[in-house]
Amino acid sequence: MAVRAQFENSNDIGVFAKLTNSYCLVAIGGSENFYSVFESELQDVVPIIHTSIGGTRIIGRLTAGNRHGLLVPNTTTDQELQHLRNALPDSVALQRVEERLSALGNVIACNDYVALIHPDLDRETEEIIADTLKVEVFRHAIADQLLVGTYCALSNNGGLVHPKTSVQDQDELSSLLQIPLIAGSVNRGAGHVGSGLVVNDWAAFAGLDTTSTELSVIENIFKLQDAQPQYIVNEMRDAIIDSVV
Amino acid sequence: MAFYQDAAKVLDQLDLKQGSLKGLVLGHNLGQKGGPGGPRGNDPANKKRLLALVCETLRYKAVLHEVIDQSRLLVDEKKLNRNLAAVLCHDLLFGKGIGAAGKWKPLITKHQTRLRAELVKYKVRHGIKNNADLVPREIREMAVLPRYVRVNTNKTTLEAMIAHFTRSGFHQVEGMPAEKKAFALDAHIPNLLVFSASSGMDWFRSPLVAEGQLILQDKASCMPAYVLQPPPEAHVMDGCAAPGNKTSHASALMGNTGRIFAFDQDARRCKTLEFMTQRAGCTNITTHHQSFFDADPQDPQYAQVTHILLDPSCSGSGIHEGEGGAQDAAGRVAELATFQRDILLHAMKFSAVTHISYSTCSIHDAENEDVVAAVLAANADFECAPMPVLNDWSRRGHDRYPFGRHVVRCMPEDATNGFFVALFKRKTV
Repeated sequence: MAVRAQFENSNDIGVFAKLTNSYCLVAIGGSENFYSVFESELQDVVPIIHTSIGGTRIIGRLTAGNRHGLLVPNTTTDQELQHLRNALPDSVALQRVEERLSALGNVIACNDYVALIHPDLDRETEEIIADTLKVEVFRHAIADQLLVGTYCALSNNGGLVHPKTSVQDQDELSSLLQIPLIAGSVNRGAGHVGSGLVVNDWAAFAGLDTTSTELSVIENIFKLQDAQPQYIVNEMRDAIIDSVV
Repeated sequence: MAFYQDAAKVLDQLDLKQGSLKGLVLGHNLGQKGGPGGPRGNDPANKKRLLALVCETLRYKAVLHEVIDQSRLLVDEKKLNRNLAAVLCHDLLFGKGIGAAGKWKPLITKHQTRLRAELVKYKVRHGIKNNADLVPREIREMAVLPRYVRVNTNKTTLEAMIAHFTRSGFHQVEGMPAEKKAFALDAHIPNLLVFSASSGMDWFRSPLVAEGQLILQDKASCMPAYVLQPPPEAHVMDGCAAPGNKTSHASALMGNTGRIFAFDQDARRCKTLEFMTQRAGCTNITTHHQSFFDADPQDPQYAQVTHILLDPSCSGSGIHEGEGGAQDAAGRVAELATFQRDILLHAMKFSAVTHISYSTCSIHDAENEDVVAAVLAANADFECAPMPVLNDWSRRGHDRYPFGRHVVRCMPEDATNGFFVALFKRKTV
């Protein structure tokens, strides 16, 4: 299911939340509304962790992670690191990264198998990404934008990229990542899909301004809805078998 | 650590055309005292491994260089040179991982994420699925040449060798031997046996080869001496003799009688020449460690020389070793052609000479027909004669030359290396 949410009147929920297949981070906010949207979808499946990073609330843009690990920037305080370590499942590796480009969420886009990174990232950071997140790492740009984390949202099922990504680029990225990609927008036409959308393999949260069309594109490419052709076929088959028996 | 450096050094020398792949790997520069290989360089297993690594790196050369460029490896690591990076990357990306590489191992493994990513990107860009498909098509589809083995009649007889191989489980067939345990008599050259490339024999360690009863020689390399047909008791010169297989072939054709003056100007190659001809049991060969140009045509000891065998240095563009040697610089080929013409003209200065065979392992016209044409234009006493043998060989020189039908060319399609042979005869004969 894809649902809409808003963080204190902001539609850029990807700035204030980080969602993976094994944990979810949400910023500490004035209202619990934002938190409850996540809780209603993810409750009992993955831990939802309230945290700040370096005292800020823009945790979605500062961190990068997947099922295997979480990378936090060097601005993260020891206290925050301790809190994250306590709250994260044991199987998730936590690593602080000394990197000049410290908004890791903006410069790294990843799923559980591959990561796209900003071409100017340090070689050491690249190795840490590969080791901690257990991914193949590719230096790549999306639609000539170097901030790959800002301009795409990836899951293991598919990916949404900046609406101006050329078809050729999409094809190349798609074969690099081994997932289907689609160019699209969120929040009524915004191109920075990474900040308007957080997604994992079974749930997606988009900004409140996201249109129904945008939402249906998201549900389609991330395979979130039950209305996929194969579900309909399965249901029909069950019904037919029932009637025959 | 030294192993990868040795491999890189071989590649450097190959780039500079300082030798052939096998010559450099098996040759002098490894395992010498104080040399890069140290005592381990002489270990045959190590050399086999070295040869394999160099060959494989060459097969993947284009991919490796692009991956290295794209990953900016050489910019980040100033200590690495391109060929060292290529061999290390080969083992990292296509091999079984980096072996004992000393300080190079951490140096390359810290870049492995980037290198692997660039390899995947290269595959995506070129629509390639398997690593095996990364090897360029022309290298992948290159025909494997059969193994030619010449029976050295100075030491044994063809019948004895056929009997030996029949005893060891081989059987004689007509035409090309297709199966593992088959062999055939070559259709053109007498005393030449053909084995399948996959016969599983380690020829280089065969005792028969070590004793000189068999000589490993490509069919094409057997042609110059065979075409020259030096008669018994003749005096013969071999202008560029090393490594001496053609020389010993000539000696065998003469029944180990007469005299052969074998020249080579390189000390190491001269040693090889002496070793090979001695091993072949040739007693009629005198080796001269000097350039053929320094052999004085007036010198009385050469007064009775009637036949000269010339196989001068060439671009080696016909040698089929997976080096992708097709892109020889035009300047180098022109230089070689001048040298080849001069050495032929020098050979023609010997007053008693009646027959000169000229051969190259090149496929460039500039080193072959063009040289022959230039020599004929410069010396009217000689003609490019029809050969007394090889009349049923169909691949000939280009028709645009008047002598095109009289010279022989070989190509990998003929199951040999690329080769060229011409025979000059003095007109008054």
